[in-house]
Formats: sequence, structure tokens, C-alpha cells
Amino acid sequence: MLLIKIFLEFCKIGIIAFGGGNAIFPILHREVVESLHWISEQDFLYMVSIAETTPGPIGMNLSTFIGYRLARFPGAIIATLGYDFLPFLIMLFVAITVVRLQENKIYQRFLSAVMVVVLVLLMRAVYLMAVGGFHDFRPYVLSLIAFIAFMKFKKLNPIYLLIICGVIGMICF
Amino acid sequence: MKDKNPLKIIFELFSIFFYVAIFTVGGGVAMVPVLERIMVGKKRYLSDKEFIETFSIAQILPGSLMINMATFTGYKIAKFLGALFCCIAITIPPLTIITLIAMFYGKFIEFTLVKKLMLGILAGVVGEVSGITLNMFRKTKFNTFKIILLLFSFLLMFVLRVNPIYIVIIGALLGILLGKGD
Repeated sequence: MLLIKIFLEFCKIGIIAFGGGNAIFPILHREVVESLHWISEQDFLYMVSIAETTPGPIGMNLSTFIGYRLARFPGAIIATLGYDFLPFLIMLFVAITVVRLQENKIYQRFLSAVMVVVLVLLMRAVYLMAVGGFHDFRPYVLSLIAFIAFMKFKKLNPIYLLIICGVIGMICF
Repeated sequence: MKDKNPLKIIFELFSIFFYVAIFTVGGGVAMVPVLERIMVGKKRYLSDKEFIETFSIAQILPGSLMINMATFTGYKIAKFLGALFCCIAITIPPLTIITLIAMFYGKFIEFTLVKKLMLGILAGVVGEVSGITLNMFRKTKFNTFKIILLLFSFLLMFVLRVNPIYIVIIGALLGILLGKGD
């Protein structure tokens, strides 16, 4: 029964995660700490600090963590699946529709405007990552170097660049 | 890509997304530069325009960007099974890592070297996402409408601090009513 409840709750959380990242914290806090009492305030803060620096969507990380605390491995898996479930269905439906809309005039107008707005959303993402994660000037310098390397070496695998940045971080930060 | 065995394509998509998911630090947007270089540059699964379309649609719908992008890209290239396996692929690495952290609760974050490694990667992500933003900017064919829309969205986002959902809705409506669709 608990597993079903976990699944449904994280279905809900998965769908309200818009634009990703930190926007989800207040909503998640209200759900799992204040109304359901699934984890304590302290654990929540601990998890937020970890989720920001581990791979994967922050909301998914929180779901996995809370699921594990509630019901061990099955809980972690069920919570994560719940988190994935509705976005997956919605995107699937949208993808099926959009593939057929390529010649539609209204869709073309919609898309060309949205592509412009998305540029601003990307600027916001960069801004939020830097302001939320960097606490002195050194990461900014490293970011600038990564930016130049990314633009200059088109053949360089961006993942190798990230690994190099990680190693520099271990040595210099 | 038509000459390839569909199972082989799905397997390749699975490995790409699995590999990308391991390095997605700081939220789903970190996967965008990496995916662009692999899907558009190296493997030529998607054209420039298709990639930006995928990213734009994934960004404006509810749900996390990573899941949305994996589902959409997977469907575009290999229909339902592509979508399903891309989604599974991006879920496994974070699921495994966080489960391990939850098991060793309290012992992980104190490990300073890991924090420094992650901060270094995050700095790299910020640099790469700035780069991809600039690239997309250059590839946009700007006309008067788009320039005004860009400045207007920027104003709403950073000065008036409007919720991004509304900015997307306003932009989309303006585009449908006034845009040219090129």
C-alpha cells in the first residue's frame, strides 16, 4: 500500500517540476515535509545540498532519496518511476503529435517564437547555476575557460571537458 | 540512419543517454551541450533545427528537462521503443548514485574532494551551456518580431521576475498571432 502511495505522490511531484532545478524545492517541501511528514526538515536540507551536486534532475534525485528512506530499494525505484511516469506519457503524446505538425503554419509560428523565449530560459539556467553553486571567483574563472574551450574545439567531446574541469576543481578549489 | 538495424539504433541511443546522464550535474540543462555535440555533430541523428526544436519543446512542458528530452529525442529517432529506452537510460545513473548516497547517509557530503570534483564539473557545465546558448543565438534567423520578443522576454525574466511559465505562454501566443514562422 505504501508503495502505491509513494508512486502516486511522485507522479504528482514529477508533473509540477516545471523548468527544472530549484523551482521544485518549495513545492516538494510542502508535500513531503509539511503535509506528509515523510522526511524531516534536516534530512530535506541535506538532500537538497546533495541533489545540487550529483548527476540527474534535482527533482528525481530527491524522489529517489525520499523513496529509499520510506521503503528501501523498492521505495527508491517506485518513487523514481513515479517521477518519470507522467512527463514520459505527456512527451510521448506531444512527440507523436509534433512529428505530424511540421508543415502546419500555426505550429511553425508557435515554434519559432518559443525558440526565442528558450534562449532567455537558457540564460536563466546559467545564471541560477552560477549564483546557486559558486561561492567565490574561482569557479567563474574555470567556467570562462570551459566556455572558450567549448567554442574553440568543436571536435572535443564535452564530457572530457567536464572531466578535466572536475579534476581542476579537485586541485584548485 | 535508415540503413541501420533498429535494434542497433536503440542500443546506441541507450548508451548515449546513459553516458550523458552520468555527467548531468546541476540540473537537466547540463545535458544540452553534450547531447548537441553527440546527436547533431558526431552521430548526425538530428539536424540543427530538429535539435533546437526538441530542446525547446522539452523545456516548455512540465516535467524535468532530462526526461522530456530523452523521450522526445528517442521517439523522433526510433519511435516508442526509442523513447522508452532513452528514458530508462537517463534514469539508471542518478537512481543508482542517490540510492548509494541514501544507504551511506551522512558519510558522503563530508567527503570534500567529491564536492570539489562536482563543483569543478558544475563550472564546466556553466561554461558549456553558455557556449551552446551563444551557438543557438547565432543560428537564430532574427527579424524585427524576434528581436522585440527576445528583449521583451528578457525584461520579463530578469527585471520583472515573471514566472517563466507565463513568459513561455506569452511568447507562444505572440508568435502565433504576430510571428512569421520562419
